[in-house]
Amino acid sequence: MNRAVALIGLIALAFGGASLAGSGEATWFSWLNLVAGGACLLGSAGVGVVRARGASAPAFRAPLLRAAGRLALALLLAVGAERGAASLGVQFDWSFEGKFQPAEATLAALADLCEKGELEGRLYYDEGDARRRSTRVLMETLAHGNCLGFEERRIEDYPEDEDRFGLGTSNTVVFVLRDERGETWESVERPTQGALFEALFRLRQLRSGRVYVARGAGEGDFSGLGPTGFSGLAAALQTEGYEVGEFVSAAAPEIPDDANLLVWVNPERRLSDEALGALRRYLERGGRLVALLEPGSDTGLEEILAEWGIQPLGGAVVDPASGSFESVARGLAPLAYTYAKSHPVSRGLDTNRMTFFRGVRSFALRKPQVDDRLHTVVFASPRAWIAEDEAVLRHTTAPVEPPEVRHDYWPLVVAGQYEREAGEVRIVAFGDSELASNQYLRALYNIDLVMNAVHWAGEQHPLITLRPKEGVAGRLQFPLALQNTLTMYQSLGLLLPEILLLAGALLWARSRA
Amino acid sequence: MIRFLALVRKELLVLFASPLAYIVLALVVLVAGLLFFDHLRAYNQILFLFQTSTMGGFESGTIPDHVNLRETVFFPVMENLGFILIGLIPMITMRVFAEERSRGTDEILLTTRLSPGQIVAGKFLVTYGFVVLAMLASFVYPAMAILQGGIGVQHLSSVFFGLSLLAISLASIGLVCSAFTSSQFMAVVASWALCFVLWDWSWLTPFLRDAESLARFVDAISIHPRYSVFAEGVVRLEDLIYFLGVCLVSYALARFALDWRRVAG
Repeated sequence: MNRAVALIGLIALAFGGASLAGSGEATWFSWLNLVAGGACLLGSAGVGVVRARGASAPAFRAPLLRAAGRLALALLLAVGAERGAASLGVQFDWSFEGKFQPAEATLAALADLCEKGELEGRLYYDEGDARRRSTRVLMETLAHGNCLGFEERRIEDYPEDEDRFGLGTSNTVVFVLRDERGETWESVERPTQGALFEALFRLRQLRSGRVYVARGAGEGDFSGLGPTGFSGLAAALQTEGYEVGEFVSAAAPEIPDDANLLVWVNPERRLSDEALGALRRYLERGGRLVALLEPGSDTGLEEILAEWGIQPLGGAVVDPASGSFESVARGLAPLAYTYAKSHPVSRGLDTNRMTFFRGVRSFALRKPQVDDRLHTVVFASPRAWIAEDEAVLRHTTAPVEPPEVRHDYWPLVVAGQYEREAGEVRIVAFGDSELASNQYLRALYNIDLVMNAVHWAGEQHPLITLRPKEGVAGRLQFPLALQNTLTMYQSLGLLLPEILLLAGALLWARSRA
Repeated sequence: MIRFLALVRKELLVLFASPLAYIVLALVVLVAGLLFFDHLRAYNQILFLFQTSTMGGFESGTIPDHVNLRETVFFPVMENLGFILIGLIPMITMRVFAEERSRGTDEILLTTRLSPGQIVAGKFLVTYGFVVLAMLASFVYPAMAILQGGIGVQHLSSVFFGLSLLAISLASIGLVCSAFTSSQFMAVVASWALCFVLWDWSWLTPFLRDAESLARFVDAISIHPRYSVFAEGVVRLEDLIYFLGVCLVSYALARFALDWRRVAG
């Protein structure tokens, strides 16, 4: 009888819970079941205790106490081991994209915020949103071993937060930082690790310096949202703490004194003498320049780079180690995987962390002064050669390799460091500008190479890092042929259960006989 | 050891001599196949609609990220299968102890030179073997189809690992219920109720806004969130130990039931 009461209690509890979970409201049905279930279980437990007292004769006591002791020990062991394992935080990321592996950059940003104050991460969700599961695992992974407190909140239970943080959709993460400045927050609506990293970076409110981007001669458009625009690079600069301003050479005779760095992206026209003069004077007084060129351009920037020992070569690099890409023939869009091991700009990049160039020119290096330091940061593969006519980039077939052509590790990105009386000059030159365009900035490790070049040139070395990558390999968006799966279903999905049922029927018939 | 192996052999014979085992195996495979095929059909339809027309604010020919084989087919199938196991596994575990008790054959077992611990361990081991076999049979079909879509063997292993651990834990709970009663009906109903109650306590969290530690506790003892982590392709030591802990505590409870029976009758 007592067990039947316990059973009734369990059933009532299950239905009460199901009612609450299903409706999300505490109705009379759920309360009645929960109260009745709880009462039945308590009553049953009470009767059990009374009976146990009845069975507490000395002969029974010892074995029952031993059994109860074993049970308590098992419970203690299970809870202790689980808690211990939780504090160790050991986990293996077997997911297809490896998306739960915290990136070095994310952990560094978290550590920095933890030093500043109290950091909280909240996941806001609507019931039934399956994406919550993945976000929860990611947030728990990030929260392990640092100060980040993680909490999940159902949006409808926190209407005040909905207004305050402007929650527009389920599966939104809000980071709240409390430090001496008060409370600041950042929200992320599509919480991939990359997006969370950027939110953490914004929360750090770093002042990395002021970057000027050159305009006026058809340079890359930092407000352009299209694939050929550079708004992605502008956003990345702002995220990582830079104030971005424009230097219009026709309107200003000098590059402003507050410039920590000048970024010059592929002018379409030749620069005016005034603009070139301003750049020369800026560099001579200890300026920092990141220049992104294109094969075949002759804008005047090339002459200035050559004055600093970085001579852009004519033609385009052909790297047969790289296959064809989109409409570009084989070898003309090199995938670079050879980097200077010791240079900060290429720190962390290796053969598995490639960068993509869509048509690139090379450089020849010649030190202007003995103490100057010139380095190739990114190399082409040893099979690469230079096609003298950059018009090959417009061809749809792979260029034919001329006889006796020189194969070499041609430089694709170079960096120069020059000690001068007015201060240290730093220049990074890229043989391609498209790698930083919206279309390709987030391809492979392009953003890391470009941003790390900016940080190195701007002497923001602690910010040099590898950013988290978005896994896209798991998004398999093609139909599985229904006919094939139907055949599989009939051969395996139906045949196997049929055989099993036949075996069961035979056994039953045999036992009856 | 010889006696223990003899007990395992006897349990295996009893299990596979029962038509119920084959019915449950067939049901698990059939349900997994049906679920998979149904989700796949829906996925192909959604894909077709997105590719050919403007839907949900997306431009024609643009498929939103969440419509993919993994998230639209594989994970929901595994999620549903996990829940369906609550219904199927207690049907196997209900008879393990309760049947012996109702027939009185447990008295014979208790008088052999096998310790109660060995008896419980033998029955648990055989049941675990059976549920892993059932999971293997149910997993083959979706796994083969998904491998065509390139989800990755490592990720599949993680999901299978989680599914097996979930099935073993549910079987452990079912065995405890069977150990405490002589009625198979009571054992199966109690298992269903208990597994369902332990499945996911997240429905309680809105009522525990002011008791965060209690909310964390009820979350920590829920089965479903632990299984979900494996489904995402992450194998965490704490989840592994949680499932092993459920088995250990269940073993101790079943043994307690046997000791109680031996002492108090």
